[in-house]
Amino acid sequence: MSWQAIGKKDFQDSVRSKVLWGIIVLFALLIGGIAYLIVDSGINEQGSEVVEVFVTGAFGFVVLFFVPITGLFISIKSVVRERDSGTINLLLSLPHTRGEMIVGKFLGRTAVMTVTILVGFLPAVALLLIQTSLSPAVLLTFLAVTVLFGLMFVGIGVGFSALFNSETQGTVGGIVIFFGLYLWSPITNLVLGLADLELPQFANRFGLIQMFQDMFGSLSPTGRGLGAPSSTTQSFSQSAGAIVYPDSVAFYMQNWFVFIILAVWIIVPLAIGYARFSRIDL
Amino acid sequence: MQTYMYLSEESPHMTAIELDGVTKRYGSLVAVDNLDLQIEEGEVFGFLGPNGAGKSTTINILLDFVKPTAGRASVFDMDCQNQGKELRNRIGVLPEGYDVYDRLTGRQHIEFAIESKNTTDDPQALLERVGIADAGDRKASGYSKGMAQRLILAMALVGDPDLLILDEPTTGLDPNGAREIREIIREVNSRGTTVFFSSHILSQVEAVCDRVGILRDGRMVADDSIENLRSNIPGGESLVVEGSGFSPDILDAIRAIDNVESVTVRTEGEMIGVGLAKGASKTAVLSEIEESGAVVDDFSTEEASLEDLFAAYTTDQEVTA
Repeated sequence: MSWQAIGKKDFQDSVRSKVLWGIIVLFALLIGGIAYLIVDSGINEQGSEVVEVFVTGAFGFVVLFFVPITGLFISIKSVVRERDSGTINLLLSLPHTRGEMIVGKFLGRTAVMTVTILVGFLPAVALLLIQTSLSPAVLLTFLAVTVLFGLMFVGIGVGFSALFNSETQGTVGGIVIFFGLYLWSPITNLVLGLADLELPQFANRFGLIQMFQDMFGSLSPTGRGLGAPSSTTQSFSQSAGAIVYPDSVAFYMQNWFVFIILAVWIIVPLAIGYARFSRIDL
Repeated sequence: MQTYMYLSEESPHMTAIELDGVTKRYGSLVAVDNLDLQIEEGEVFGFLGPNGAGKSTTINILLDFVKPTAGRASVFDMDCQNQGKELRNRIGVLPEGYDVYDRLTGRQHIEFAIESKNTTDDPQALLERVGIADAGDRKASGYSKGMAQRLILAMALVGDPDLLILDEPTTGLDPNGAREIREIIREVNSRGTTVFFSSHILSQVEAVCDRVGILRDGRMVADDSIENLRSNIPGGESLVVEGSGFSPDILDAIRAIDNVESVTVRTEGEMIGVGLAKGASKTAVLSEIEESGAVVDDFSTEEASLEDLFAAYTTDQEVTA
């Protein structure tokens, strides 16, 4: 299978990047450091629910910043670098279509993203499981949602990489996309606010923070979002913006619909990238 | 594989590569101009031309890296644009302008080709065949240009392809390495593989090719066997005259002399080359020059070679046959 061969080659190649390992170590120190502070603060004595609030809240904050940057870093040059350097001439001399190349790249870089997240979380997870009463199921759900969240940026990165013509465009594009993904929603709301309008609730569901919140909220065994409601941490939970969609609202406002939105974020950029990449002269 | 060879022997005139009016324009630049070409199975075809003549563009159209502006290209009757994957399963390619994957070893490169083509080749045997067995476990970023060429040739040999497309395969190789590549070409060809081999150096293809096509400015200016190209060389000898006052009128007068096949200006007004057919008189040429008032300081004769012919086809030197 073409995409398997490409995905494996791509994983072998990019997992050897020294910068990537630097990022993994940084991530592990950051997340591990937070876990250590939580353990050290003695919060555990207040019960697993309180630990959950602090862990998911603090980790969520780091992940919401770290995963988009890393996901884009891993993927934004995946296609354009092969074009720039000429390695694409080797890849496409073999019996692969350009579509299989995009799919293979997406899968290979997804594997890299997953390894990055799992290895980065390893020290923190070990510490929390040993030292606190936090439910392993909650931690695992958090990891799984983080990986799903990562897929989104790998998809966006690979898709845009197929649109770029040079590595420089890739670098600039990656930075623009990073800020764009965070800022489109507040900026649009601000502009609309001047005209006394606001984005429909549905549009806000495409926002990064809201998506992570919704994914975690719908998968977590305790049913709570990041930094969930609790008498001891009322203000914290409100700032984390947990929204529980009532069962009565339209299907696209239900919690599970976030996974459809996730798929849209992944598939649309890949499809746009492929549409152009399949037509160009290399 | 075996069955395929029998098939090819039964139908010896199957076409390996066919170009039909292939044109590629980049804006106002015409890189390939209405090119027709047919290469039969089992042939070793030398695709010659100076850098920029359109050789790589032609090859890139075969590989679907580049979409032709007009015309149709096919390999083993498969359309290059619509059946690229199927087609590339049957060919091995050493493309131009490639780079190796810096972080992968030589062996991993070959394993990638093996997995891509879903074959059972032994990476070590391939590394040995191209002479880089010792470097197989080193990262390819440390390879010299010559070693990289050998590595990519090994990738091209994966799956025992029916057609090898080699774009300037001897670039970066010393004469010994170039000879080894030619030996590999002869060996795979003797087992039935068609070889399409581009180069800007005639001597590289002369030794192995059954047939040579010369490309210039996107057009095929010659397409013939080496023997026929040889026999087209004017007389096999040329007279080089140095002096002064070689006006265009004098050049025309020399051209009018019996058995003079070509007059080439080597240095404007000071040095000319006169291609002589058998039976031409050097004395007649020299006296014609002196009688028309020009001065002859020195003259010598040169054995004409295929290189001269190649130069004549691919440069703006004035050639009148």
